[in-house]
Amino acid sequence: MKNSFLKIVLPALAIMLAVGLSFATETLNSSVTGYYDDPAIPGVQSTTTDCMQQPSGVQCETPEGFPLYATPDLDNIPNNELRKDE
Amino acid sequence: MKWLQKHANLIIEITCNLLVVLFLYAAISKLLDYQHFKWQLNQSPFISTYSDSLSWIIPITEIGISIALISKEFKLEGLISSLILLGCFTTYIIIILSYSNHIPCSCGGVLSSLGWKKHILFNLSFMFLNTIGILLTKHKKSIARLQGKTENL
Repeated sequence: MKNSFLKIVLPALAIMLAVGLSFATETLNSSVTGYYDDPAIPGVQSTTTDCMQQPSGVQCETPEGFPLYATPDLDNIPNNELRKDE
Repeated sequence: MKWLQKHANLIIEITCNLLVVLFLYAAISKLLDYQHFKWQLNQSPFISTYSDSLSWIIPITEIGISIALISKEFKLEGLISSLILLGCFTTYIIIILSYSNHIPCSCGGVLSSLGWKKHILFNLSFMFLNTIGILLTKHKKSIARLQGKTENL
């Protein structure tokens, strides 16, 4: 009984957990924190967005029209823009 | 020490299954978000040239190691390969850290939301567990071999 638990049930549980987690966190990954600079507010502001850091696509903006970035460094580092497929 | 020997089987199985969860989760997450993973590899200063092939080799290797860890015959080989792979990932992270903090992590799923330093700690704890698994498996194999020899006498 103990042997079959170790040899069959435990690996099956491990596989199910891995597959389930990867699909579950795939949905979670679709929402990320985006950073932008509103000149009227001091400092860098953040918001949640479904855009991603990817090489192509349209750069995402806040409803007020401020461009979104992946880190608070904004456009001071290359490839930091959050984009969405067209 | 006696406790360790008594529960060797259980410890080996738990270690292997934890590694299976880690590698399968990382591999499936990478394949589910393949384009993003490939782009992350492209951002790396050292491996961007090989990003096309690596984007397939890494998840396939992870799945292969998971299969070896589940199987009875290749458990030790799976444990050794997973230690080598984790060692490679950790070395890569340490080298990357000396370059820049802004290079995106090419790890799968929520692991990419861990910071680089947390990721090193995470990898080191799995490497520690992995080493215990290898030592116990080798110990178990040598005992089995000795028992076989004494039976033959």
